[in-house]
Amino acid sequence: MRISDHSTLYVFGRVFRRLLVISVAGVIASCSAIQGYPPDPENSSAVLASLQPYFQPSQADTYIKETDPAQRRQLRDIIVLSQVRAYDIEFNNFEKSLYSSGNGISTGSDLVLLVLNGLGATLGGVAVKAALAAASTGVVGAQSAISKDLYYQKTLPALLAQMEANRSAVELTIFTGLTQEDAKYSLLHAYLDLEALKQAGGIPQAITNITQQAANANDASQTKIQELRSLRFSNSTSSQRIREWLNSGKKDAQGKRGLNQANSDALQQWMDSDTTDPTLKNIPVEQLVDGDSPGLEADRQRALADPKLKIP
Amino acid sequence: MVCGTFTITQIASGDVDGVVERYKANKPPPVSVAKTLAPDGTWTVTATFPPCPSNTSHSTGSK
Repeated sequence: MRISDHSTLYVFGRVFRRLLVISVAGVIASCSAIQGYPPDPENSSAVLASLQPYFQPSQADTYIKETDPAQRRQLRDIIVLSQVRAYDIEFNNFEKSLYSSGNGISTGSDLVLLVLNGLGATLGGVAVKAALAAASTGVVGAQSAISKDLYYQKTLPALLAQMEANRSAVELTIFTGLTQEDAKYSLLHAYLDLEALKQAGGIPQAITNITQQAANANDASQTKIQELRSLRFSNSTSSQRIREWLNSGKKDAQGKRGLNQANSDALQQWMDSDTTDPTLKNIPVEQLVDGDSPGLEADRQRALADPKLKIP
Repeated sequence: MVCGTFTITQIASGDVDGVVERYKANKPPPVSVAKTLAPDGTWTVTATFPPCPSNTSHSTGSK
């Protein structure tokens, strides 16, 4: 091994030692992070144990054998509400564990392993070329770990919100059902809704709902774009004002002003960054300027009122 | 990303060149811009941009 190889290894060793210190500090910091929930005075394990009898098939047998409608309704309500309570507790525990793992999966912990691997490979007396390759692999792996954790942390709130929304919808169905007579909303019917409640608190259903919502939003957006593909020429005041602003370029030989490209670019940039009408980023500037459409008229009014564009 | 075909119809003669110029000023520019005279004396300008990706749920607007 050449002298330059040794000095390179020495420098890499120092860099990785510093990375290790930073990563360990990150892990320690994440361990002492606040949990995000106040302490629960209730012993949820004990409550869950006390609710277990209401999941036994014998409860349904007792209900079925009961002939008095008022008694059947009372039995139904107790069984259903007890099961809802149990599902609520389990969901809260699940939600807390997800939230904790979302904050607790530190990029630091993954980085420590990756840096250690990198150190081992780098300081193991192998040639510099091999050490550099190993170090490079460590860095690439570290980037992958960061992306995974950040993705998880950013996605988690949306999943939790969707799960809560799904559960609320099913609970509304159950509570509405319980206001009815047993003949109209039997325990067997309630069991179907309780099963739906159990599924509603899961990640797969939340992902399905979110994906479907995104697909629906995309379909609506594409339909709107389709409606804007062929439009009549607009003679509205807003169109005329924007046309004059765009046609403020240099004069040609006949003294007629040409297009002001800077203004056209500014308007296109405004369209691309607009959040009120997401279809604007998918249509040409000309469609906005001269398209006769109520929606585009509203967009033109917003463009005229935006001080950033400075349209006279 | 702008894709497919866009059309403005019933354009007066004095306005048609401006419409063509503004379509061409788009970034990225259309693949082609064509103007046709309608029987009523007005103009129709059609700008053709690159085809829409196959995963979009709408048609490309091509006829």
